[in-house]
Amino acid sequence: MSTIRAFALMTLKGLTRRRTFWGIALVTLIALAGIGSIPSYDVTGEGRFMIDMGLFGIEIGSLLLAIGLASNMFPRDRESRSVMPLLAVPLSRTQYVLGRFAGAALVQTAAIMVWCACLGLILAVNGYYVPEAMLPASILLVAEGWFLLAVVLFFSFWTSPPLNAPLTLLLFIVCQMTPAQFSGLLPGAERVMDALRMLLPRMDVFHIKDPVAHRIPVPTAYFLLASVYGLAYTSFMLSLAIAVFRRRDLK
Amino acid sequence: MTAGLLALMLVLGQSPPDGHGHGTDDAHGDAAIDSAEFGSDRHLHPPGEENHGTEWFFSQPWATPERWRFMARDSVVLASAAAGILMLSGLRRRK
Repeated sequence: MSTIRAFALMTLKGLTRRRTFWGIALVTLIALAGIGSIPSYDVTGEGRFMIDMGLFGIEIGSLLLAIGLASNMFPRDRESRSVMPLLAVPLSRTQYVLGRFAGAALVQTAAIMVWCACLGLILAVNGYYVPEAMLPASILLVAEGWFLLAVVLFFSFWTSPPLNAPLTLLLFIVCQMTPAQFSGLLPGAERVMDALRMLLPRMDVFHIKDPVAHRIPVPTAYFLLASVYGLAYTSFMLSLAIAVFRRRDLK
Repeated sequence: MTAGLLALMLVLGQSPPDGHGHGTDDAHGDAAIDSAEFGSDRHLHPPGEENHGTEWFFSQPWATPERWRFMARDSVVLASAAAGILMLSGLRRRK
């Protein structure tokens, strides 16, 4: 465990030195500030729009960050040959994957929390109510972000970085669909599509923008169960990534 | 993005879609809640009831028993699958 923690901290330091992270974090912050400066045009309840669009912006930022952080980690290690000495002595392949994931997950969690705090600040500065459910909502965004991170990490072991981004994006879009919308993509093969959809996570589980914006209380148990659901999908994707990486020839 | 669309429609001067008719059979006990901050009336479905396909009003999906069931079921299945994959890949490697 201490080996994974040390490697995760090393990954964290490496990632925070990269311009990709700061670029995406800054662009998302600028987008949030832009959402905060949209004039109300006398539309009532503008605070709701800010919360809704802000949380949507954070979700997209989280997707971009997952791609930016994880798609290059293994290909870069392989190109620079630093993966060889790492795996030769101090780390097993499982520890390598878990350490890389943990480091990137820490960076992503910090970024999402900062974005949510900034959204709260923008709301407060504009004189709007800051909902209490912003924290649980951001925790669900973190759960979604970790899943996306695990997906990108999984793809990075068998695809090139340019292919990784569109694949993750495609999965992200498909996971937003309801089972009915998904099976409608291929008329005539509803059963196959239904079975396929069951393998993919239901991202709408993590979307509680509407209730947060409308101040409708969501039970704490829901947040817990949805977080467990996200963690279960993340662990499933990580186990696939580990299985692929264990069999991967590094020569 | 429902709220975003609403904002756009109101800015453009269009009235929101009103496809959410309530017959006598499916009266939901709609609640129009005044809100000083939000300024407009809100339409709420009772907990556990799904939306009727309109984009305008949102449902409260977290309250549906079906959702809680699939989240719990999928979590258990996926955690077991993850453990199974790790064990199988570890065994294969040893061989």
